[in-house]
Amino acid sequence: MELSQETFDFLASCVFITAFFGFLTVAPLWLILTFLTPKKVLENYFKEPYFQSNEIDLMSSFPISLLRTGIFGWVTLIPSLDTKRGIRDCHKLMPKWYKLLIFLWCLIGILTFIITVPGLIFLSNVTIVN
Amino acid sequence: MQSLVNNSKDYSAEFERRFYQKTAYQNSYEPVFYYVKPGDTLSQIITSYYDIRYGTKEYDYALLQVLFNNKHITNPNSIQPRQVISLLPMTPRYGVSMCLEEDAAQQDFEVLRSKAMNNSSVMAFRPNDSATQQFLSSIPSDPQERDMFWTLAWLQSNYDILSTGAAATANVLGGLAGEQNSGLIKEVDKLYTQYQNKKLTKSQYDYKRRQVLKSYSQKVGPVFEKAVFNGQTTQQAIRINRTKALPANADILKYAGRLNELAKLASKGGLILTGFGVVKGAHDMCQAETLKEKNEIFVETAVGSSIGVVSGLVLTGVLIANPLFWGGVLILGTIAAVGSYAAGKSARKIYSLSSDPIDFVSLTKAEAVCNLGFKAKSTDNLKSFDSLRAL
Repeated sequence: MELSQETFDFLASCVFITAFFGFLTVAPLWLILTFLTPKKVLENYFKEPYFQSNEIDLMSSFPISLLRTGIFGWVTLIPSLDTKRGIRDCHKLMPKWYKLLIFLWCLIGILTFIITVPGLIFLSNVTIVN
Repeated sequence: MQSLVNNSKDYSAEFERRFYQKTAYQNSYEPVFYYVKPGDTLSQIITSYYDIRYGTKEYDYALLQVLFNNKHITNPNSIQPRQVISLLPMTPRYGVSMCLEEDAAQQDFEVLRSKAMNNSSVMAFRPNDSATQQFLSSIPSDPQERDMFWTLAWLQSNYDILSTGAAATANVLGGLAGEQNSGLIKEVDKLYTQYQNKKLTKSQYDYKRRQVLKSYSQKVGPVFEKAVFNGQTTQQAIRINRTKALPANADILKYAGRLNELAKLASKGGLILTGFGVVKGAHDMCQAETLKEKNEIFVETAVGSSIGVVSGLVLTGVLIANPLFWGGVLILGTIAAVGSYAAGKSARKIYSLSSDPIDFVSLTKAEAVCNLGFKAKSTDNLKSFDSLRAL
């Protein structure tokens, strides 16, 4: 596909700015959500049979605990994704501000992924015409 | 795996060769910084590395110059292990290269460093800066730990695309070999002591031992189990030693010790790899010759990191329906690493094709990181330099 230099510059700037913004928001939010995971959620759902014993060992310490936050985050946002673990009600034990942060975190993360990955692939394969 | 270890040893040897290289009567300005080992004395270092005799006029010159260039040595009769001593090249006429003024010494160091930076295989350090001291103090003193350190450093240096996956593995290994799991192996030793003290019968001991080891096997999984116990299962490896040459619990203690060592090395390895990646990105940006190059490195690092993070977020969705095992973390880490590497490279290529690219380095004041350890080339100067080049 062919693009003019101006269009290429504009699209490249959009992709870069989205990537920077995504990184600057998703990474800190991920850390905050991990360190501030409500104790009630951990006490009630971060145990067997919802998680296997080796998973509990692995995800108890940083940085693997980030994956635990990811699991709780996705289940809170889309409960129907949980077909096996049985933790889809964990959002009931979360305060509103925590749910709001999870919503923002996942939304920004997904948008960043959707815009930057195809954007980079597309821009890497275009031909610039003057 | 063997070739990896051999390569890392070559890398270590090459690094240390450069580090401890003799410089007497060299014509080239090659920076040489000596890393003090236990038992070293300053006179030994000077006589050995300048190939001169103790007590001669040349020695006195050399000593004065070494003290001048190493302000952190307050007492020449007492140097500490892990200190770094810079050794300037010696010239036939002046003995050791002389820099009589502070500015001249600084300027000289900048010449040495810039020459070293042109050769990517040479690592140059400022002996007095905190980042250097911090880096050197992180090199383990134990020979086995040093091997692990250099293996990881070699991996990072040669295959940075793989090192994120390796860092993930190291972190997982640290978790698997950690106290919460290896404590179960020690539990067997306690059970054996109870059995010896007749607090447990033979059948009670056998039953409890089987239960503990079964729990251990389930926790760490079959692959890790066989890797740690040389192809055996936990039940086969953790047994009472029947030969009379060794204590009965020798195997148990051996493997408990090995697991603790692995946990220590793995956690250190994960941190080292992560730290190396971050420092390397910042270092490359600070040392770039032009503002455009700085921006390209910045874009590559930032977009790569961004894609790594959001890929990780998306990939965690897989874990909702699938239990996590240590190989799974390795796969997730490697996918995120490969994705972020490819994205970073693409972003750099795209940025270089832009006709009027945004100056992200100035906009975000990213050069502030250079003040943490590496002196940056001034952005203002680079802007002038770029405009001159454009003319």
